[in-house]
Amino acid sequence: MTKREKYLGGMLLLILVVLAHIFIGVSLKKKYASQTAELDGLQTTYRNYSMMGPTTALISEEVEWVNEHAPPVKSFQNAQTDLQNFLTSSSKALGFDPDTQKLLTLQDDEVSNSMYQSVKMQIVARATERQIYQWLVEIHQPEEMRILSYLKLTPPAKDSQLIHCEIIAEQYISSE
Amino acid sequence: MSKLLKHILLPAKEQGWELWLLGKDGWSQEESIAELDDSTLIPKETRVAFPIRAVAMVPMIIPSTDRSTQRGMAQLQMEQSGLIKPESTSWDLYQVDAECSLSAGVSIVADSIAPTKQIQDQTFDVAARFYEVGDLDTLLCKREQGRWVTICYKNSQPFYSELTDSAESILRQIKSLLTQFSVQGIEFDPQTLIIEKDEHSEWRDHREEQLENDLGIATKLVDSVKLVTSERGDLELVPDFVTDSRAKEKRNKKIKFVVLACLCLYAIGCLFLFMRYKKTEDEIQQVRDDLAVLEPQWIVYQHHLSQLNELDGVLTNQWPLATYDKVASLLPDHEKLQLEAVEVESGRVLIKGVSPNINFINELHPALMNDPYFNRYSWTVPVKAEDKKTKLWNFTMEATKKGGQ
Repeated sequence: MTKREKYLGGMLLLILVVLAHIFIGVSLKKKYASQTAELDGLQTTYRNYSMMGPTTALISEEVEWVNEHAPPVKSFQNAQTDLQNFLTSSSKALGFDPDTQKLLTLQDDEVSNSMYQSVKMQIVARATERQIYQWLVEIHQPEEMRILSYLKLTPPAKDSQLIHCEIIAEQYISSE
Repeated sequence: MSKLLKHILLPAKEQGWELWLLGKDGWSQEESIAELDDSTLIPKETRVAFPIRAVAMVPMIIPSTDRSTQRGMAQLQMEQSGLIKPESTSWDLYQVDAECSLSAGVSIVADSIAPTKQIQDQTFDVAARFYEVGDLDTLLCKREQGRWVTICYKNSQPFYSELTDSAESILRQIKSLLTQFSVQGIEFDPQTLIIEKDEHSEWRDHREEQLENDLGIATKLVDSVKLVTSERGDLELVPDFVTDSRAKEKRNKKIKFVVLACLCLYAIGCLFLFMRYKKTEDEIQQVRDDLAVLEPQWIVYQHHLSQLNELDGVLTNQWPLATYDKVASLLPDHEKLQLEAVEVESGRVLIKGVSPNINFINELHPALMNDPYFNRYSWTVPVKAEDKKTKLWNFTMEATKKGGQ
């Protein structure tokens, strides 16, 4: 092998080594970037996990209350019927009849992957202030997972003693 | 002798070289070497002694005792004689006789030795400095590598040498030399002429007696010349090829050092990158382990949050009639300002009413805003409009819970 051939061979080898290092360097840089991103992601998750300690203490009472008063397990249709019957019967028991009743349809996004569902019914009634108040007290029972999510009261006109009342009652149930 | 000097490589009488070893009983020949090449094994710390044909020995009278001055003058003289080049390292100077300020300059003038790898690690000298001739002014005629040489000694140190054509020309050459020294002012009065026998040519009978008679110098014929065992300082006599070779070797060592340093840095860099990679991997594994411990609690926690989130309507719902009663209690004048409707739903309160004048409305709005019951609500500016026929003011006030709930 001549001196020139040796020189050219050496230069070729050097170029190959440099190219190999560039390739390895780029690969290592990518690898390190993904490694760092993974570590950052895990550390963020860990910070989130670490923060649950104080929050757990804050929500413990609510969790306990929810566990004590868990929504009843019912089918959606049964829950609708039960709520409608309850609202009608309770108003009748107090001496008045609802003017209109309307079952509110359930939206799709509320159903998906939920542990609980809520049955909503809109009722319009006209009765005395006392009757309406007693009726509302009977309806709004958070311990039974039943609440008034909407209330509209129109005070009686000067020539009337009847209050116009429009409500939306909501009953929470556990999905079957 | 130098403490380290144990071997000396001298020119053989006829061909090649002789390797001599300094033992307890003096010098002894260890090996004859026909030709020096890369395969020749020469011990380390061997003094390589050049033959007379390879050096030029110039006697100089330098009236100075300062070593650097002596060297400077000698260098100038030898450069002018064309024996050395500036910056050359292939020459040296040593003192022969301090009383008459006689020194001898020596320079390498011929390639008498092959540039082998073994040679370049040795020290160099002149063979004439190792011949034992006694303390008197002496002339030595001997054969070196097949050539007759004549060497002039003073104080057992050679100060001049030259090649001699043949044994027959010794007489003529010596006469010429003595005349030359006389002209140069060099005090040289040889008491002895030593002639080493030539094994390959017949020495004529009574030849030495004839020389003694002709020259008036005691002549002695010897089989071989002994080597001196007394002190001989090193000469800084380095052949150019050795200087070049050493410089090249030094440069190669530097390059090797730089390459090695680069490789070390490269290795350290790789190690650093690997350590950083390993450290990050360890950290990832550590965080994964920690997360694995917290994972079950996290799942339960998320389940609870989902529960609370889905039942938020129950958990955060206020008793709606309390809101209605609070609004009614804040009316500035029940008789005059009348509510038409109050709507209460999660996170929103809407009040509609009628007022005989605008002042009642302006009183009601700040009262609602400042009441602690509504401190989590933000109230919009009341919308007011006067009925032209009845002269009553219709108003609407709306509040929404801060944060959307």
